[in-house]
Amino acid sequence: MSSRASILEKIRNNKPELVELPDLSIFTHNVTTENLIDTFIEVSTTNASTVVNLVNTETSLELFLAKFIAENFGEHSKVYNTLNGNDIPEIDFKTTHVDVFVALPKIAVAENGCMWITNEQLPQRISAFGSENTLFIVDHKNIVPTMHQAYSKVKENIGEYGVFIAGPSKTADIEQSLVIGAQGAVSNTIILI
Amino acid sequence: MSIHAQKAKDFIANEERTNWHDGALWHVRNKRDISASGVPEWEALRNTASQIKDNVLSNLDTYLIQFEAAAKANGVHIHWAANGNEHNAIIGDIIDKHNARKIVKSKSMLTEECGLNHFLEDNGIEIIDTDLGERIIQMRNEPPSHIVLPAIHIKKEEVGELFHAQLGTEKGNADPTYLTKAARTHLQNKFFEADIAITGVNFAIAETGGVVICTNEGNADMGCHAAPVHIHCMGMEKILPKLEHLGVFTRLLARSATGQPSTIYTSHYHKPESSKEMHIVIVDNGRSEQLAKEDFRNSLKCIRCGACMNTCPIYRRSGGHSYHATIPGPIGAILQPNRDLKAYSDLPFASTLCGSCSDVCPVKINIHEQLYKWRQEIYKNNELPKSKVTSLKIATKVFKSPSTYDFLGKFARASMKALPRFMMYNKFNDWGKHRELPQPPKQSFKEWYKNKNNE
Ligand code: SF4
Repeated sequence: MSSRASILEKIRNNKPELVELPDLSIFTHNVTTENLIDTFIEVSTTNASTVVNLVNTETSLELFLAKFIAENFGEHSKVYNTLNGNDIPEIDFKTTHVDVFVALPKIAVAENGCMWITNEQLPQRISAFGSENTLFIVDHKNIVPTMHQAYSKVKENIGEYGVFIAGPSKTADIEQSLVIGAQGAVSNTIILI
Repeated sequence: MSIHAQKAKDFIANEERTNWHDGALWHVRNKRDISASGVPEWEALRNTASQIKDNVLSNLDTYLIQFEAAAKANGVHIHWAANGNEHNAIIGDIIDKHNARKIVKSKSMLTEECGLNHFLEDNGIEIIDTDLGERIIQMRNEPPSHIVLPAIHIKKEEVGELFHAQLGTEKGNADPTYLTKAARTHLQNKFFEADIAITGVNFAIAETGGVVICTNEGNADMGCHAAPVHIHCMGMEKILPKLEHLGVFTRLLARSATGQPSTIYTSHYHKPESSKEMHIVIVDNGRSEQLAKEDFRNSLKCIRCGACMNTCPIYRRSGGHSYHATIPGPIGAILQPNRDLKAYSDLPFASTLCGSCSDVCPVKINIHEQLYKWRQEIYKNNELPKSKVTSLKIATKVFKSPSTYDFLGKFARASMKALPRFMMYNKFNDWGKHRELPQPPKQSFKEWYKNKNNE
């Protein structure tokens, strides 16, 4: 008998009587837009992201972004920008230093600062991890209260690969001291529009 | 002396380190409390998570078949391993097929359980753990001492020396930021050199055939996206029915583990990137037997958050290695006896049965009750340590006879007052080690009650 067959048979013989799945509809959250924005900013800041709030300004995003990148990552920084679709020439991340990865997540979560991007925004999956810094443009209309609402949106299109990113990579593996910048991006910026 | 007691003794020999370890883990436990209390529906989440896992365990075969079909439709290769050896052999075959020589691996307690690293190293394959804590202990040739904080037993000065010797960092520099950067550079090279990346799995979704991996460092994703082949190894109990159930578990996991509202990366792998290959190995290794045991099957609900370790007064003061098992702490103490009752008969006794583990467990495993039940199993199977059998026999006699009990009580109270220190604080009295015994009361409860009624 194959291992597959024997494992399944053992489970069939050993499993308890069927227990029904619980109701998830008890997890509802009615939160105002202001509240969502405030919580998202607060949590993201705690997660060590830099947050720039442009929600109530008239600033042109394009101009702001160009200026922000030049000021923070250098005039000649290499940018992996996915804002205009994923038709981007392939980069060898092994040999090319990319300063900043830019994307617009489809979902942002107020309770924990998670931002959802999928293969649609990741022509090369490694781009969000192998770039030195990440920068996300978050449309405040995309903020949901908790992971429950986030997954009901994720469900519509799970994609081939999708990731919630909640800030720059970090570790506390040496004596519990928090260090920002482990194996993924060393900084994360959120521009809220 | 049991293995746990002996190893705990070695650990606490360094009092300063013990106190640091105790305090550091209590700090993590505290962060968990603050985080959990910020979620008003926390208890509802725990109940729901526990019920979802009940459903999963009661329908596991169907979910696994559904998962397999969905994953195969996504172009993912599925393998089944009855035990650790088969798991290692499957990975060995994939490595052979690709002529791979260099492997990177992100944190996976399952591959630890199966002894994958040793197996590959014995076959001349380089395997590099890419989680910083795991890399540190790998360089030291040690197993992890905690499932979420694998290097919690090591001081930064020791990491500094280790990195100086193996990565060429400055001598005497023990700054965590400096050392983390050095590890980052070292690991970036390893990611791009690797032929295959291996990861563990936090959750697998029956409905969609995908696996979910949670990290803070981004090392699992760096590995998988840089290498042409990625393999995900999962215990078969990791299944969740649908995507929406992730909403419950992602809210619980990081908050319980470190007090963070979420891990930094929660990655969902459904299909390989074009021209790449994705494999999933589904592992039993004793889980189907655990499923049959009504009293113990709940331990299969564990999501490996580590909260029961951080809160455990024994774990915090005896260190993860004292459990001489892949999974230490309270959950390890109920998982390991299932694998080998004789070898791990000491672990269910490494507990005060205070129940704090069950209180913090996000999936509501009745850990302390299972510890108590394992003690009974161990007694029934004659695996109780001799010292315990003798003292329990004496205790049974004493408790059976009220007059002996009264007499010994009086005798103990009198002698605790009268005996010189060296008679009480010596190597024969474990209760007098590292602590002051309480002042004996003047009278017993019975005497006090009698007097009170006579007044
Ligand atoms: S038993 Fe519960 S508390 Fe312990 S690691 Fe598992 S899920 Fe976490």
